[in-house]
Amino acid sequence: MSDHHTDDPDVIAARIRSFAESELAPIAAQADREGKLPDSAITGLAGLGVLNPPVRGRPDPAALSNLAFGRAAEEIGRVCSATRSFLTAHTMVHAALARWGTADQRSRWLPPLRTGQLVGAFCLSEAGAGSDAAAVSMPAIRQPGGYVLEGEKLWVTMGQRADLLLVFASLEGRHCAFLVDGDSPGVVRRPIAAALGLRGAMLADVIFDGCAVPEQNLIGSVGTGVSIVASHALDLGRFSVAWGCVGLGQACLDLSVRHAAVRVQFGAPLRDHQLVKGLLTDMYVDLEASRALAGHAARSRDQAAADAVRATLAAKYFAARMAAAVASHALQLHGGAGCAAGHPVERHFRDARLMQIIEGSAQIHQILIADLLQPGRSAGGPA
Amino acid sequence: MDSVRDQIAAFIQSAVGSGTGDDDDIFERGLVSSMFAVELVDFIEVTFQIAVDNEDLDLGNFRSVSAMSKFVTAKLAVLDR
Repeated sequence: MSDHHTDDPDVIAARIRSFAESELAPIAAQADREGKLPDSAITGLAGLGVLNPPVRGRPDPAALSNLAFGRAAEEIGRVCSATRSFLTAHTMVHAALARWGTADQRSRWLPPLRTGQLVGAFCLSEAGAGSDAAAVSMPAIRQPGGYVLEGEKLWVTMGQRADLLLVFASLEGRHCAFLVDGDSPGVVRRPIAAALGLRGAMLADVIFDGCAVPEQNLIGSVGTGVSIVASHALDLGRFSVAWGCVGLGQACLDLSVRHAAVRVQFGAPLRDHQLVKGLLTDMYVDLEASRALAGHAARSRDQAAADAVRATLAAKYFAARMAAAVASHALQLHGGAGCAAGHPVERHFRDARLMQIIEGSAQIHQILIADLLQPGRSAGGPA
Repeated sequence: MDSVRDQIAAFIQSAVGSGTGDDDDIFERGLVSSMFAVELVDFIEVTFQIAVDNEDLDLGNFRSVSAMSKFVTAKLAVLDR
């Protein structure tokens, strides 16, 4: 944890920006190329207090506020989306545990999660369940003293590396959430190499081959694993992805503005061409709109406002769309140079496309947002 | 001040529309989305100033207006002791 605790989001953001520029920027391309996130990225974030995120409904002076946490995710996302992806998955496990864990579970696992001694992973998707989280069907079978897990989880962020797995399964047709020690017998990891983006986030499919889980590792209650526990975790995950998209968009805009100022075509810098001005303007306006939505979500969450869930969904939906568009514009402006492997725009472009898929696809966000709009509620502004 | 039941019923109706009976299972009837559960927990905690904790995490407490009223009333009674 940071020795200099502060609630000021600007101060926290400045610290994270400094860390991101000095420690993450030099390793971002390598992490992408090698598909591996160095432990220094994790311990560095822990040292800055970023792994102690806000817990919905449980204000904690030692934890970051939503606005500070969001700003931190922005600064990380500006430099390395794989590191931001780690942060998202890790803090989703923290969210589930902190909100719905027993006192024993919280005292055992939260401290090492906050120091980065343990890395968490969120294991939800299956061959037949992803956007449709309620379709989770991986069986959990009761046995004396606990349960046995049998099945496979897909697209697990940090699945190659995680020490603590939050696993969703079906116990006699009722969803449960379990904490599984990554070293447990029966846990088999199958790394996913060269995914389109977020390559440094150490994606893996994780197989549970007769994996025994003690009774005391059940989070929440039988039947609430997805509807309550996973939903709370996803809510925070979407929030950090939204801010990460703002950071990615900012990086793309910064690179594009610089490139447009120095690249000369037809006798003038790119920025003097009217069509380029149009692209830069769209990038800037969409980015600022995303930042405003993410900021509104942060304030709603910090104030426990009635629209906090809706505002978070809206921020993630819009920011993910923005990130893909802004990264695409950046690639267009950079031309061939931006397409080269190792160029940051090329990496941002690949990473950005995944933002509309992870933590709920764009289409799922449309459904969720629309479902929360009802005649009896205000359709705009705080509910 | 509205009764516990009235406040809960008003919230549920604002979310799923009118025509929901006090004993209707809002989850079984598919009236609410997955993220509504998060809003519901927030609403109960903020409105009634009670904590929904791990040991309260039984969907049976949240299935209907009646079940939620009973749950909240019981929690408030504990606080009043």
